[in-house]
Amino acid sequence: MSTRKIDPRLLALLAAVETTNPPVPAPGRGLRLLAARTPAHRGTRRVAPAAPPASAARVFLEASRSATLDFPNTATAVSKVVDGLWTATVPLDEVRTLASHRAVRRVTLARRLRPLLDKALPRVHVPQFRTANALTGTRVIVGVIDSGIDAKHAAFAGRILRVWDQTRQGAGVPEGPYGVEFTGADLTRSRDTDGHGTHVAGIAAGDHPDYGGVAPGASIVVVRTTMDDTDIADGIRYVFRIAGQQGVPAVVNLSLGGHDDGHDGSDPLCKVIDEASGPGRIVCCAAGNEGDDNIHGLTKVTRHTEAGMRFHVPVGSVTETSLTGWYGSKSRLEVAVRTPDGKLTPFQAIVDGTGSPTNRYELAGTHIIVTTPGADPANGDYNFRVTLRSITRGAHVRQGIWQLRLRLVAGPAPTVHVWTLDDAEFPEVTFTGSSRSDTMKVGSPGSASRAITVGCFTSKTTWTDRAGHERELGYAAGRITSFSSEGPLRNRARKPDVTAPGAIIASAFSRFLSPDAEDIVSDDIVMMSGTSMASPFVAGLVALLLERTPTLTPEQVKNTLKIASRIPGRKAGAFDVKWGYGLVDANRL
Amino acid sequence: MDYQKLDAKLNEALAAPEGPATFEVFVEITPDAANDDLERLVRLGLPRLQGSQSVVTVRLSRTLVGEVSDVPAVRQVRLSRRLRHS
Repeated sequence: MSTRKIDPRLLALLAAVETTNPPVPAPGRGLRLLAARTPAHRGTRRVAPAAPPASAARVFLEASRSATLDFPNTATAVSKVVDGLWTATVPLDEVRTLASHRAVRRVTLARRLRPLLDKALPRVHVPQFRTANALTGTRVIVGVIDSGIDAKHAAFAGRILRVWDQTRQGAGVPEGPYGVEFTGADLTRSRDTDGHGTHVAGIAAGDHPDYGGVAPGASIVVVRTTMDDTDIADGIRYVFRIAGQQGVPAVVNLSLGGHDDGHDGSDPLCKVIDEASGPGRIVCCAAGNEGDDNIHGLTKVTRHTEAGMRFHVPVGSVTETSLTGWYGSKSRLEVAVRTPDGKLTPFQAIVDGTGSPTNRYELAGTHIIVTTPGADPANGDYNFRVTLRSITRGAHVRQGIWQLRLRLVAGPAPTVHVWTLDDAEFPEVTFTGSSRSDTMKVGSPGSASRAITVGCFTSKTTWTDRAGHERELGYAAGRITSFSSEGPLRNRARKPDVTAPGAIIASAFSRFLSPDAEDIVSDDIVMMSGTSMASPFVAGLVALLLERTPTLTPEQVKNTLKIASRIPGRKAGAFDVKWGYGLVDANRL
Repeated sequence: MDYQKLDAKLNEALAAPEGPATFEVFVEITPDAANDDLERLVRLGLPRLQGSQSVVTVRLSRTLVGEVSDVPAVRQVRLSRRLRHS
């Protein structure tokens, strides 16, 4: 029975049509109607629409993933979104025929949605700031180093200057002899198959009637990066060179990061950011999304006792995992690893003479690689590294509770900070027990001292997907998002700097992306959340500031943003390791 | 090979029995580097430092990692990391 495939709102619309029995004109573009545009139904659910009924409706069709929908002898026009999900404009007298199609599983009336980025912008008074100062980001370059951009997206029309696609085989650019640079009509030859970069670019600089970004007049330079930090460093220099050649200021957004560093801004990517930044050259970084993950552990190692740091490797989770540990150079530690079944590697001392500081052990079906070099030349601290990899190539690391064992052999009792690293999309290997520490989870490049590092504020907790289903994420509205990574840095420097809306944000949707249907808001807009979304929000604000004063230094921009930020319920100027200096308010810029 | 100038991950990669043939690295150079050292680094394949730069990126073979690390002006050679979206 095809009626079972039709959602109740659409059935109600059909009933209204059949009751009043109006003439049904031939469908056309002018007849397309989003039923929930009717003011009486805005914001309501499962309520019958008011008369007069429409003669055609915009619907979603759910079908099997392999289905090919075609209705040659009807006026129905369909358009595929992703495998299994289609949009269609259907004359109302053809809805039941459509629903009876064998491949169609569900026909759902589209809803008119509230623009969510439009909610994020007013939340921090961006429209007022832009209007009062007549700013849009014009004559400023927003550099997006990310997964690329859908250059055909209308939100960026005519404003993308160049794309350096580092993932393609080519001769590269002066900053790196690899990848391909595209300009003009060739911009679309680089594709954003991940969608992250397009979304990020939309937040910083998208121009869209409902879901516009913060600086919709800015020019855009894109680096589709390999995600290797060396290539990201080259990308930063590339964007700033282009800006210099054009004689305009630039802000680079980095919605990416890692934890394989000393968490003190001393790693080379941070150094490149600090060196490349300057008057009219600003870098914004995401703080990270590890606020809910126990990736950081710390312990104090005292003489005559062995310290243990327990960490959990979930079953079937990772094929390789590492620990990177850091402590001051006045102390000397030895490092060992205990397997889940109680076997222990030899304790390994610092190797600060000649010869490799790496040794390899085999225990419990696992290669255990321990590296204990001399003091790190960049910051003078000791760093050790432990890597676990199954002896069976490609197999998962043995699950269970592992232990890092540390003992002090010289010097004062040090506090040792250790971060877990793994090859999963999200952190899988985490500390457990007393050594876990919910601090110091802003890694490189967010730890760069001249970068503006941005935490995530929850400006919205629910949305309605385009199939009409209400969706909710378990965050508290009006607060810092729980996953937003905490500072400070290991050297106690204050990070993050400020907080901006990052959950939940609607922005540009790359047509090469196949997101979950529930995240799709409309044909060209998708939902995402993260500090990845908060950072371009601030990058857009920085573009506006640079339009007003093109020679601002990173320190001036950072100070301006700090003064404009507040932690709810706290005095101006208060700092918190999660909020930084608080939620930025454009009215105070 | 000056192992003390190599970061822990690069040391680990060099020690791997089936490690890669080349390594994408950052090379950090001391601010008071002698011109002879800088020219030697260019001959080894490093890009020339621009302006106030102290860090360059380059892909090096195992042999070249050793030769670069032995140049007195080199402070550190650090293996590239793969980052994640935040």
